[in-house]
Amino acid sequence: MTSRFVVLGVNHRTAPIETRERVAVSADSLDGVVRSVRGLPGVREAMMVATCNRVEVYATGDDLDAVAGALRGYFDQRGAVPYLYEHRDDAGLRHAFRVCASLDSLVPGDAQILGQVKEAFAVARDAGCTGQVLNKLMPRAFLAARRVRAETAIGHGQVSIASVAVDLTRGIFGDLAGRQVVVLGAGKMALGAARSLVRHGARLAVANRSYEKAVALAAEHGGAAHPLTDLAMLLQHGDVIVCSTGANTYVVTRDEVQRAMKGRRGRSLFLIDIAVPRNVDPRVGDLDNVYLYNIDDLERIVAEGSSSRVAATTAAERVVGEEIDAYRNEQRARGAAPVITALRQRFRATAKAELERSLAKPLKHLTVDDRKALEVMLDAMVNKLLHAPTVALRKQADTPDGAQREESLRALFDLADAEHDTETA
Amino acid sequence: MSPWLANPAFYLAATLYGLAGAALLAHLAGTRRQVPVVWGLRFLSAAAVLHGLHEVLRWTDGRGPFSGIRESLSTLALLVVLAFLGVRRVRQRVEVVGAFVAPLTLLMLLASRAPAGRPAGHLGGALIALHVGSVLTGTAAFTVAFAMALAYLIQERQVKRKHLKGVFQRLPPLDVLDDLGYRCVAVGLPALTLGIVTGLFVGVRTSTGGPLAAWQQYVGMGAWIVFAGVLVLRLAAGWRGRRAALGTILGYASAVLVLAGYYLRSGRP
Repeated sequence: MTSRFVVLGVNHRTAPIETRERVAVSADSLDGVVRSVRGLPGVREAMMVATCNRVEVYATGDDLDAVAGALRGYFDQRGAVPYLYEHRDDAGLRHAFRVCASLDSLVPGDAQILGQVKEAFAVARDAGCTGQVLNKLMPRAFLAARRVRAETAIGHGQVSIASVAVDLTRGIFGDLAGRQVVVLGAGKMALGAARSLVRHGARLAVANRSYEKAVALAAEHGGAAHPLTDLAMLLQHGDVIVCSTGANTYVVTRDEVQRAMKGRRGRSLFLIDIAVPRNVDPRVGDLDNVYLYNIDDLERIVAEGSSSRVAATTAAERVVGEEIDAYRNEQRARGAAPVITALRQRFRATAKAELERSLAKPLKHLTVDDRKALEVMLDAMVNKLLHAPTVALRKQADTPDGAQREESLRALFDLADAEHDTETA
Repeated sequence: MSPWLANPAFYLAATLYGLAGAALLAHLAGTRRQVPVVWGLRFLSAAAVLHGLHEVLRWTDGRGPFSGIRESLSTLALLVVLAFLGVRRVRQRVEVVGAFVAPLTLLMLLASRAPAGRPAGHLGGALIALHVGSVLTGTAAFTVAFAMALAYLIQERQVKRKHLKGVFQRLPPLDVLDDLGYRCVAVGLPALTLGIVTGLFVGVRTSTGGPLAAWQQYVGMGAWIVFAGVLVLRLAAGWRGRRAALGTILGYASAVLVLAGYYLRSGRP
């Protein structure tokens, strides 16, 4: 086994947005949550990837059944167990690599996921929750992801949430010139979508719980700032409302929109809810002339627009496969290292003992230089003799054949003690 | 009349209307072999020219545009297509709505050629011309409004159901369809009002009637009330979009019933 590793979680494929809302973890609380997961019984290392599409825990431990059971309990408290997936060892490894390379995203080639996983890893590492396995595995997965972006066309011609938002707004309003776009919150994706709309002639307003933050964002993106208490007014005068606050409850309710629609005299209102948990009551979408799209809707549309990238995805899978193989080989080499070291020590110790015995009596007439030459010759002979077995052991480590050979070598040369000495050293 | 020229013009116009409808519907449906919308428009424009020629030739033969229900139907078909082409010049991206206009036009044109049960009553006089002309102008505007409303409901369904491929990409934006529908009703309603007022005098003078005529008048008034409601409620209560589209369709259905009444009455021996 290359790593005692398990992944448990929910994502856009297994869980509806209502479930993902229940398990959502905000960036501010991620550190505390990771520490508490790391503290679960049996968990040796842990990190948590929490995005609007997925909440998953990468964990290691000696008894994976115990680790998985503890993590399952964590998700059970949030009612997410029916939607859980679990991948162990090689399957988990493959999953982690594919997530980083955006191959597990709804839209393969999604540029954001790598940054999100890196951030999650940094949080876990800084919290002291990662160790030998994750500290080696995750950087390798990031390397694979970078190779995928550099060597394949997976990120080319990306249909983005922002471009879908522009298409939809055009489909509802036609010309975007002069339309009022309101961003609620400070989400990067929301501001990105709003910026695209502004580039097509729309006007921008930013509303935030913190008025100072709204002022800063409005100044940065060229719009008007509002406190969130202006919501009723913004709903009445805005055309496109992009919601991305970190609130755990609905910021925009059905009653508020219904009241706003009276003031709007029936003018169309388009709400884009990018937040998880959602900011807009889903019943708002049932109102006349109100169009509501949440993150799942937008990403499904984006995915439909990206369906022609099969070739790029295949190439990306191949790169991921190569990187997984390389990682496994490294792990195998590390796995065979104690046997190889013990074998070399055994040979060297035997040669040294025999040399010392010979030098004590039959070869005691040899000069210091001759003795040194003999020592070097024996060392070289041991190296040459062990070269082929060392290569074979490294190659076949972690295979049934390799494991059998390691066991045979341990038994034949009585390496158990030597291995123990190596480990304690 | 010059049947040797008028008949080919009629049949060619009808064929081209059919081709325009087929091309625009194929474009809207997004068939595997994509049909460019411009083909539909070219067919429609060519059909309008031949239809106009047919109208002129018939007029020179003594059968004016309002001389009977069948002639009026043909005139109405031409007014509808001209109104649509006019709207299309003012607002871009509405060409595909022709997919609904062209079949209606073809239907009206073909109905104008159905054999009459009795000779067409030659309606004369300025008042009658004003009456029929106003009603036809109003109905033409309502036909275009109906097409916009139909397109609106389809597009709205696409947006609400979050189906943003195919039809969504080919139909005009919701607000454009809503606005054009409103403008068409705003043009059609005064014309219909004038038609109804002049119709009262025409009715008194000609005293043609019977129970069917009485029902026609009620339904006609109903259509007027519905269209007036569409306008008033939009301005007073903000009834836009779906409600306005449904109102327009209801009003148009009533207007079609009135037209069908005339048609049936003219066909009775």
